[in-house]
Amino acid sequence: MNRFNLVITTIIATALLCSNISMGQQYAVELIPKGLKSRASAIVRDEQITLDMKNEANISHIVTKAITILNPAGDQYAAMVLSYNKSVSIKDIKGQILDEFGMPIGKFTSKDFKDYSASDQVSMYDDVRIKHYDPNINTYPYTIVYTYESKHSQNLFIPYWQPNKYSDVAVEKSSYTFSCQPTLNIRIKEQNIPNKVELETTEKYKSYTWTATNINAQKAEPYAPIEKKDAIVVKIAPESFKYFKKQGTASDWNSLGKWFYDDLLKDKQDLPLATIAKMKDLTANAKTTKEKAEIIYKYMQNKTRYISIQVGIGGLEPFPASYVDRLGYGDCKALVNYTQALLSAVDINSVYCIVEAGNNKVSLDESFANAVDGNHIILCIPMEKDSIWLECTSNKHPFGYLGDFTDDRLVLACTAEGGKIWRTATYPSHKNIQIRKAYFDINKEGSLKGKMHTTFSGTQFDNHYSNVFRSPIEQVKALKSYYDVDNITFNTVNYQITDTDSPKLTEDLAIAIKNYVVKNENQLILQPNIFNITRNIPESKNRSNAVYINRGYTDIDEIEYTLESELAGKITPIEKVINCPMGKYELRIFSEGTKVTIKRYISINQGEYSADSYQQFYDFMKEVSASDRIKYTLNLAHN
Amino acid sequence: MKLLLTTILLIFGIFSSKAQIDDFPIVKYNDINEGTFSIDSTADAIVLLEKGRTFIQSSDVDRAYMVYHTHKIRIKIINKEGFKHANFTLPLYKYGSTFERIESIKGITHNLENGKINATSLENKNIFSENNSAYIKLSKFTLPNIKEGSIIDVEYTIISPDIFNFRTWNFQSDIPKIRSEYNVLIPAVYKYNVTLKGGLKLTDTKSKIENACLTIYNSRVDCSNITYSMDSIPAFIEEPYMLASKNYLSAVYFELEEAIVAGGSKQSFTKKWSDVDRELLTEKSFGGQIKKQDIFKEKIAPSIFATEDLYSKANMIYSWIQKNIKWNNTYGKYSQYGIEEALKTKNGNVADINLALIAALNAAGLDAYPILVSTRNNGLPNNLHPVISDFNYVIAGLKIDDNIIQLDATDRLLPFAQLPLRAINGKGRIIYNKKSSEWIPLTNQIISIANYIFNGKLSLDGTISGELTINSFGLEAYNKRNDILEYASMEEYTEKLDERLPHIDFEKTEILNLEDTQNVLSIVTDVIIQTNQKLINGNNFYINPIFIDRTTRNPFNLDNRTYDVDLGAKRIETYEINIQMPEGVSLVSAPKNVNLKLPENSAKYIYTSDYTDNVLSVEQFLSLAKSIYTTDEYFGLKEVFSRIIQQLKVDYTFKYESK
Repeated sequence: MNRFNLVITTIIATALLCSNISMGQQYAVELIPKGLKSRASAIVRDEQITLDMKNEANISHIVTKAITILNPAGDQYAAMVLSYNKSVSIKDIKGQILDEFGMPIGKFTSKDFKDYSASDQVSMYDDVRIKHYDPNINTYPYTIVYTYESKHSQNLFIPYWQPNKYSDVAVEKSSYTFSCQPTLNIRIKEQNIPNKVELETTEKYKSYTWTATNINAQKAEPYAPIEKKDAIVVKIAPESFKYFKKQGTASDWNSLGKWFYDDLLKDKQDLPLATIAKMKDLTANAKTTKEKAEIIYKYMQNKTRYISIQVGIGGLEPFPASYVDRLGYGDCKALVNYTQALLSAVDINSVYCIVEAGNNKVSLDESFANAVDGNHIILCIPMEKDSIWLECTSNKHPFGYLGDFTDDRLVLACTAEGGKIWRTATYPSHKNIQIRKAYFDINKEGSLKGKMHTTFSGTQFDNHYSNVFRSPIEQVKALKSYYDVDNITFNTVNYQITDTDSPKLTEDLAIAIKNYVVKNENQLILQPNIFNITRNIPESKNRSNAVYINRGYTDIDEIEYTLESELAGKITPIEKVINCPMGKYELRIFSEGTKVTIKRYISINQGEYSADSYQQFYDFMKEVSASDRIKYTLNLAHN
Repeated sequence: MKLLLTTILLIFGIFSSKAQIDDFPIVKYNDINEGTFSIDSTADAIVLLEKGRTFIQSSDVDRAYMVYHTHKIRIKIINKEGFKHANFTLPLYKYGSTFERIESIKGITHNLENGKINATSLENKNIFSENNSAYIKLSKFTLPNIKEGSIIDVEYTIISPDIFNFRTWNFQSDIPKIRSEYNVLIPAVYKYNVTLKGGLKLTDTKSKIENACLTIYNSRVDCSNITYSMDSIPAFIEEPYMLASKNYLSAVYFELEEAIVAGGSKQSFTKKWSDVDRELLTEKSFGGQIKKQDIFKEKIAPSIFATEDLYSKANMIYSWIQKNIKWNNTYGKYSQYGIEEALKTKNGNVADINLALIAALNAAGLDAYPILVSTRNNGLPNNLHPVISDFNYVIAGLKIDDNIIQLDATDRLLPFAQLPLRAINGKGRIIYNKKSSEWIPLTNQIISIANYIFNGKLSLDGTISGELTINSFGLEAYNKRNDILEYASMEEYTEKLDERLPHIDFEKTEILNLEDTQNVLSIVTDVIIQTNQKLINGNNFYINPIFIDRTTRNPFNLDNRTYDVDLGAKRIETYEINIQMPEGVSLVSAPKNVNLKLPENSAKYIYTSDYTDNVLSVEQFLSLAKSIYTTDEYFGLKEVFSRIIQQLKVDYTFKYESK
């Protein structure tokens, strides 16, 4: 019966393609329902995704799709990028290109695809490969119609259905069918589905079909939450699964984490005795767990570097600790596993944690255990208060610093007792601080010379951190992009890291800026805020999404200018305080004798705010931006 | 005692020979302990010694003569930033049906541990082979146990079937080298023309004759054994706005001039241009395509062919080709599919498109010729004698009234007679017929123009309303069209414009000639500008009339410049602004008028303003009259932009007194 199922879908797929050839016009652009074209770069005319799980190691995944590309912005949705490896093979790719009237103008098969390795700058080697096809059509609109089958020999990663993932793609029709043996337990999570699932059960199989029709494209909104509120998602995970030669069952995060621990991690901590002895030796005089852990973390940083090699199940399973010990490199999994082994040599318990890394704080789906979530591994040393989180792929970052790559999100901790959902270290707005103080002398020609001292901490620690390690020439180049001011030169550059409870980076610069202040007759034109000028945020009218600020921060700036000659009278002082739910801004500018001083404070608070509060945020940022650009015309006293 | 010493030496000798690359000196304690190098104290890694060797040998495995390239390199990794120099990706190319092979990869990391030198070898199982494309394989590996201070030795041999080609040897790379040497063994059956490119000089060249070094075609031939060496080679550092780094890197190039082939006859490889002209024009995928004029007589509307004005006829044919074949992003001077197939599938490589253009122009009775081009990233072509492999691109040269108009139809947004940046690189070779060709400078004949016109009126509430027109042409228009077409519709583009510039409201926007690349792209819009100041009796207020695309950053901000600045096109930027002020407004102060020129008018900046009858008129003019500026001119350019930035910082001060 399973086989029968496949036959049916293949027939449907073939019939669909053939029908275009024989009848044409089915995908003529004029047949697109009214309204769907608005804001769309492309329109999915008909998409059918079927996943037929014959058994744990045999899934047939057939995609049949017709998509009309309306303009060049939609070309990206015509490209087919299919990845495969030892557990996924792709076959029977067939497709056609149709013109505006739905008449065929070209066809393609798998031989028209480019085939290349997925390894990139980050990965040294990856056995995942890509099949890639670009239709390269010059006349819009056009339609690409295709079908292909991919065979999965594992069922740990079942692709999600997300028909409205791209806001500029409208959907005329999309459907997703999953079928398997009727006795199998599968877990399903549905989100915002427009139509109820259609269930079909026979003695031999059960199948679920979800359908979505007539979804309009939407305007992408600035400061929208990471997940759109109307995102349609269906996630499926079978309770018992197979991945390469490993077998497992999981019904929740606890059991999935347990499987990771037992089947992929447990036996990987084979350190040579000499290394164990060395760890004991190194930490002999350290008193606390934290001190010991820090010594070991630094040892690991000096011993290793990040090199990513993904082979077979290696995409999920770390290389053993002995491998890293011998070669001095590994990917995130191998380096976390190695560090964990080093720590356990001195009886420190630590936990391998799966995280979705990136500037956006994406948490694992707490309500639905699955192996698709997460793309990175970090290490956690559980403590009674303030657990220690370690990023093991950086051989430079301070001990215990996660930064904005993995902060403040839910991760899966794989412990011996099973999986647990933990939240990583958070950096509140008031701890992500940049404090800057500068002194400049302004000479008669309007050139500036002086010193600037800046400290960065919290997630802002990373702002200029990479510059610490560059050569002097490269440092100056980077500084010119951080502080992009005409005629700026940096005469001394000095960085210092203080690494007490939370790491701080201090940047000391000697700066000269030729002709910064423009002289016009007996006047000087000075824009006192040189280095921290906020940009406006875009307008967002008729907004539907909430306002989301991913991460907050605080900046405090002060610059004191000393003029060569007296000013004729004082400048009009400025004292400004602006408040809104998302932040606070204060600006003070005043003069005293030959001195002009600017003090600026801004803090932006992370969080989610109602959609209609966007206007408040917009007005706030607009006024901040205007205030940051205030210019002064200074009248010099006649001597 | 003496015995003991020799035993120790012997043991040491055995040990070191295991972790040692042949004819490289033994790594000593001080080599690793040494921190800085006089050649470049700031380098992240440094090549201590590099040796290459190329020779021809009969290979039993291949049953053919093969070229063997051996490469040995010793690198000192100075800090963590230098770790990436322990990663190797070596490309292997396909010639005919045979791939090059890599053999005998050896890698050793030397570290100082507890005062002793410890060597770790690269394991074979950690060497990866990746099929990159149908023509390239990659051999990838990284050395084990890399630490700050590590010294790594790497050795490998690439065996290539391409026996006519002695590889280019790059003396210079992105890290400094203390010494680099290249030894070639060229059999007397080959004659090479050897050239050194780049700004550095060889330290030494040694050559000798090696008798009977190779048996070829059953006779023994002598070889020239030549060693080129260079010491103290600085790292190569790229700068913005420059041609491909390949043009500046110090390297030695080999070009085969002639060879004695099987049977003992001489074959000339370095040909005369007349040979190349004939060969290309008789080649099926080049000249053969140009001949296919008849296709176009059927496909292109007769009205186009009947057009009298040659210029507009050519223009229409150019647009027709642009619309009917889309570029598949592949370079090439030879047609990939043939122009018939390309027209059918509406898809082709550079040669499919531009050879089709030439054929179509010829079909219409116009004189069009192929121009061979080497793209920017491919480096400048050899200008002494023809090296056909230097060229990787072809464009059309249309001759009207003794002028050659350069055409490239690969991008539908390029106007007639404009070249894309990739094709502007030194000179191209125009091939008139089987007997004649000549060099022709590749230039953008079209000046890039940006022109802003604003006519508006200030109200007492501090808003300026009026009509803004932004005209652009050439490279500027090309970039703008690309930007606009990123959006799903023009409405969305103007919406974005509106959002990007919150102090300006774009009320009614019209975009003219968006797809018509032959004409000026115009954005005409009604705008309302917020000055955020109300006019208050007796008070001053400030206006900066260049309110859109004002220059605030200097594109030329380097402290030093080593290479020419290449902008790709000449450029003119103008502003014409008129603002009507309300009654009672008088001018208090204004920025000074400026008239600035670089020598020979290579760059000009003029700013003038006037306030009469309550109308503020501002004109700004900037011209960059060259597309390539020398390093000497760099600081002139930098200064011009600096002066513009300063000029535009000054506001107009007005006073308002109501009557």
